[in-house]
Amino acid sequence: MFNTMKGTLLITLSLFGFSGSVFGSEESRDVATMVVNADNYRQGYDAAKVVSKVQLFEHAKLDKTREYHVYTRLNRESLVVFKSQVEEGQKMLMLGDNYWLLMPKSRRPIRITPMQKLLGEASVGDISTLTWSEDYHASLVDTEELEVESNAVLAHKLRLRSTTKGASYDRIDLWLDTETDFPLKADLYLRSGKLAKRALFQAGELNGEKRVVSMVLLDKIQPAKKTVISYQEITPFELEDKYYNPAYLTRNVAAEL
Amino acid sequence: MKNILVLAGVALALPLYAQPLSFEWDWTLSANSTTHQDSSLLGKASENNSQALDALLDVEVSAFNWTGLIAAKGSQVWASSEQAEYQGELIAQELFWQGSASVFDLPIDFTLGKMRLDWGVGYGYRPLDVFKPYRRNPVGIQVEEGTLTAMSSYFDDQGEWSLVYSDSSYTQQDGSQLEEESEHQGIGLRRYALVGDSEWQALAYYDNVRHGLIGGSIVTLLDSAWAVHSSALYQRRYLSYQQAGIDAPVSLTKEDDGYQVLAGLNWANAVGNNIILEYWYDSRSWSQSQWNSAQKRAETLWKQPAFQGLASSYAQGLNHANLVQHNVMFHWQLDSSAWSHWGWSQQQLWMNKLTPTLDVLFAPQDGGVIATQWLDYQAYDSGDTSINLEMALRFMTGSKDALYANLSDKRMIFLNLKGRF
Repeated sequence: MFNTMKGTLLITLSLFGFSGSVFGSEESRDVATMVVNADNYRQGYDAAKVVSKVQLFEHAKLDKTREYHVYTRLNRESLVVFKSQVEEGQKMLMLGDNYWLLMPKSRRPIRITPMQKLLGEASVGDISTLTWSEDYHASLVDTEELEVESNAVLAHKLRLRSTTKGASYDRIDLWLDTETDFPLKADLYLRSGKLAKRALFQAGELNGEKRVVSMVLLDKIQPAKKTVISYQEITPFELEDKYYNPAYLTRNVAAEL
Repeated sequence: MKNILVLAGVALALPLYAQPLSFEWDWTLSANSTTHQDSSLLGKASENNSQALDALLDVEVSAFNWTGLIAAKGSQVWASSEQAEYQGELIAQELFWQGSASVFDLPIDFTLGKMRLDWGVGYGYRPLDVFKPYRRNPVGIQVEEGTLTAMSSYFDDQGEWSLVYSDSSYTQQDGSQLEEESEHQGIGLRRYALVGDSEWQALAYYDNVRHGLIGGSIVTLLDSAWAVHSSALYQRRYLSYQQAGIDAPVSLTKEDDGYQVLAGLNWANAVGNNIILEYWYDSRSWSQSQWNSAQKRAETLWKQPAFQGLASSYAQGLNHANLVQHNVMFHWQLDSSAWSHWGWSQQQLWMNKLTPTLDVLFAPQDGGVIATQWLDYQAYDSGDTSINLEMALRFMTGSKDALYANLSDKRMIFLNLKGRF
């Protein structure tokens, strides 16, 4: 099931001996494959609908809840439909590094810069970007032993550097299970170099496949804050092209998405 | 309204797609206090201060490809002034149907009904907002109504082609004489395209008031922090208040060749500062010399009781879309997440719910300034319900003879309580 186009391409290229010129070295090719494998645990389709529930905690007490439907497809294109009642009608369209925001009850999409997209409730960036391989260049740093649910797990520590303007974080230190490439932990750094959040990934099953079913984000700047993102549905789904047209934003009625 | 029903009937004959019923409710309670002053244009202030309370409840309902936005507005629910009267209105801001059909093998999307259609770009002013211009940057309650619209759209890889018919006369709220005589019926064509990082727009529209207008806009990203936008519009005819001799009142006349141009910059940084700087020119507004003449004449006429009607006619220049020809807008907003960047505010989690905003509208021709500050606090948000508390202050000031400094309202304070469920 995890046969995304990218994954297939990487495997095909390696079979035909493109390792030197395309990937630079054997090691970097392996690292790129590891990241694609890790992405597949988070999304895994060329085009998908992802339903996520976000719970924001302050001092371990639930502060607010959000729900999003994300329609994502290749080339870093996604449409985020805000589904919680207080945000109903709000949408964000992302086409590469171009972003538009439509506020509830408005018929005027607002063009926003990549920098503006990074602001606001951080969970929007965290739920809308479900792949690292398209936004980051990865290198292998180390192999470390991590404790996951009281078990010692050997993990590859990767360093991911952003390659796009709209990447939510400038640098990510990512720990992947050495055997399965399942993501275990990630430290998320801002452009200032500051550690912003630590992400912990929980494994589970969705549609009979092993998936990341939730991600806990521990705020390292404001330690009293914690965000839990639960992925309730990840299904292959292709929206018509016009839904990824900025001029169509004001037309599609959010309730049907 | 009859036309809306006819359109509704036509729309119902087109295929319907099942869609769940959704409701989005908003409410606002707005208390304001205004400090008045004597004005050369409007004469002596009848009172120094006035206070009022306004209320609004609106709901957007979507079902079966229909969208309706209905508002119940109560103006001056309470007022300190004895002359103020309560006014309650139920306003259908929008009621439209959207659907699609195949026409000559082309997938065409349709919109039929009353809709707020705005193709403008810009923050302080939007030259391409040609159907029923929004009132801009409000501090209190305002309810915007759409125009009767029949539009067909074809979406291609680059953007959209739109053919639109619009009739702006189907409005419930009273407007100024200029707004009411500007009501129009017209037909137009618009092209929108996204090419690389740039959005382009071209519009040609013919109606019975402006007798033809053309306009265009561009929005483009320079890098991850900077974006620029620009917009221009030329119209063959326009309505404008004109001054005649000192013994004749200002009157609304039809003029030739109006144009508006706007250019702006948008910048944001990683901390959460967002700045917009814009300049725009509107040839339909009174020039500096026309305002000087109007203020001098009105001042002289107000002193003579027999000519006070004549004197007050000069205040009609304030009804133009832009009060002055040359305008500069500075806008700053600090994102609520910014407070987490500084050590002193980092652990004050309540500050993450605070959004300050500042607008400064400057008239370079006479040194007038309208400064508005907003402070928004998200008091409660569960996901299902939210309540925000907003304080807004507006000052009309600038150099002694500036138009903005001589308006009858000098200062305004608003306390708005807003909810959503």
